[in-house]
Amino acid sequence: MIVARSSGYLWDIVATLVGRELRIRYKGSVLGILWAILSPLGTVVILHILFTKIVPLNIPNYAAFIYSGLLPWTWFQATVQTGAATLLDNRDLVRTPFFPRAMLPAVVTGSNFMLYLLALPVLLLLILMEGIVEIPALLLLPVIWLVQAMFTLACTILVSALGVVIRDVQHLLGVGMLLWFYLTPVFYDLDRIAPDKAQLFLLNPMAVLIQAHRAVTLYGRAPAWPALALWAVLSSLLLAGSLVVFRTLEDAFVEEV
Amino acid sequence: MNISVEQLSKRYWLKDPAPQTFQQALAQMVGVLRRGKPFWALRDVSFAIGEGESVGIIGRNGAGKSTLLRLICNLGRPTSGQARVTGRVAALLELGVGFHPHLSGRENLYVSAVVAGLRRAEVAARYADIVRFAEIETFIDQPLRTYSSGMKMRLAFAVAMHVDPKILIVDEALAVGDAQFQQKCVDRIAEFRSAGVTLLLVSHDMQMVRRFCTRALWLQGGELVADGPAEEVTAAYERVVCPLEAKRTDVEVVHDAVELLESEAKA
Repeated sequence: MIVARSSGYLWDIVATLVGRELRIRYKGSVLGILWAILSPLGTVVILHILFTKIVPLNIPNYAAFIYSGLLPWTWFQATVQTGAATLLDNRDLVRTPFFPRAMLPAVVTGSNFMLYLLALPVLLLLILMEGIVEIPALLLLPVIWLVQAMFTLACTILVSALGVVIRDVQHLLGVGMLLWFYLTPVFYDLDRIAPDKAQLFLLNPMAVLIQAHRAVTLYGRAPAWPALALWAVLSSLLLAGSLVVFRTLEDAFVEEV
Repeated sequence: MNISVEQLSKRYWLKDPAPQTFQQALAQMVGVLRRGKPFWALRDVSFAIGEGESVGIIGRNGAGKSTLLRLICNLGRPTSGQARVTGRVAALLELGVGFHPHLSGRENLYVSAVVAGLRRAEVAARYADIVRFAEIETFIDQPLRTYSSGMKMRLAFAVAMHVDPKILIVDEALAVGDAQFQQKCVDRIAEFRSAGVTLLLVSHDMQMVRRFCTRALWLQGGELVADGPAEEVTAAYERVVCPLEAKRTDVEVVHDAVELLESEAKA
């Protein structure tokens, strides 16, 4: 049975639970919400030392380069990873009568997007320091967010439902996401890979999205529209499909969480 | 029609105990398809509840009352048949849903009220009322982990009492707080009733059922034994079940109940 809820109410649910998520995350820590900036910055420092001093990749503006890829990647990766357990972590909500359960993956996607937004000013600072700010291109960023949000949400809905029925999913994801990270040009430059091989990266939506992010933030140009449009369409199909899977498994996982 | 239940059945599988010996493990592996023993929590239950009716569900432990409420509340899939509900439901099945120990009473209030079905603006408008009802004005900004269990329950209950439901489903959760607080909850439910809210109440307290309900459903062994005026059904229940020795089986109880109700119908 599907209970129709007004979209306004669904928005309230997501907004309230995203707020709760962010409050819980930083409650009691000394630096609080600053960690949203500090933890990606820490990763950048490590990768920067690794790939400029130890194994030099010779990519210009390397700090800004990694940061511009790492932020959207972290949004995706953290969402899917925590999304796999979100129904189990929120057992009491899942077992609440008429609670719109499909909103839980949206809450994970939303709260990780908030963390992304919080860390974004540092990227602006980094590209400002390198003197590469192109305002008109930056205005295209929301379009990329939309495509990435759709793709991330679709993946999260899928793994969250599967994660209850098959609990191995969480463990599998740990390895899977590591592999996906290396297959995505986060710390290396796709433009330096032989063109015939680079073509293959079009099959990886996260590669397409990271490239789009970089085009806009780092190089001040429009993203590669055809690839982005293709993945926008595929993502919306995937989203519809994952909702069908979620609905099918819903009755089963209510009894199993 | 607010709630309609048609030929509803629910079967659970009771898992076999984990094998103790290698031999048992082997035996279980051979019978890979064994899912355990079937257990029918509900069997072919049908009834309909109209708008503004107040109905009590009674029955012994394990009679299927909670399973029935869960299915009406869309938690789990019926094995056969269906349960349908129309209108905003407030269900007091589990209290304090969405509560987090490290957030303040205020933050928890907002979350759980939205989860219970209110818009954010509605919560803001009712905030003061909820806090006053819960009697925790002084502590509302303290983290929930510092609350006593009674305070937590009062807060949860206060939220549930301010959701403006069309249908209120209560699962024997009314014993919260001191006598005065309980009285407040009882008054509030009476208010709901006179406002035309449909009430579905599961209780072992026949006084309570008679007080709030005009109609009662008696479940026994997953089956609906009686459906009629609360006075009659609770009286019959008290006569058959309360002096009941543990030795009697469901079949005997059902038999007695049917006989009793039939003789009453004749009289």
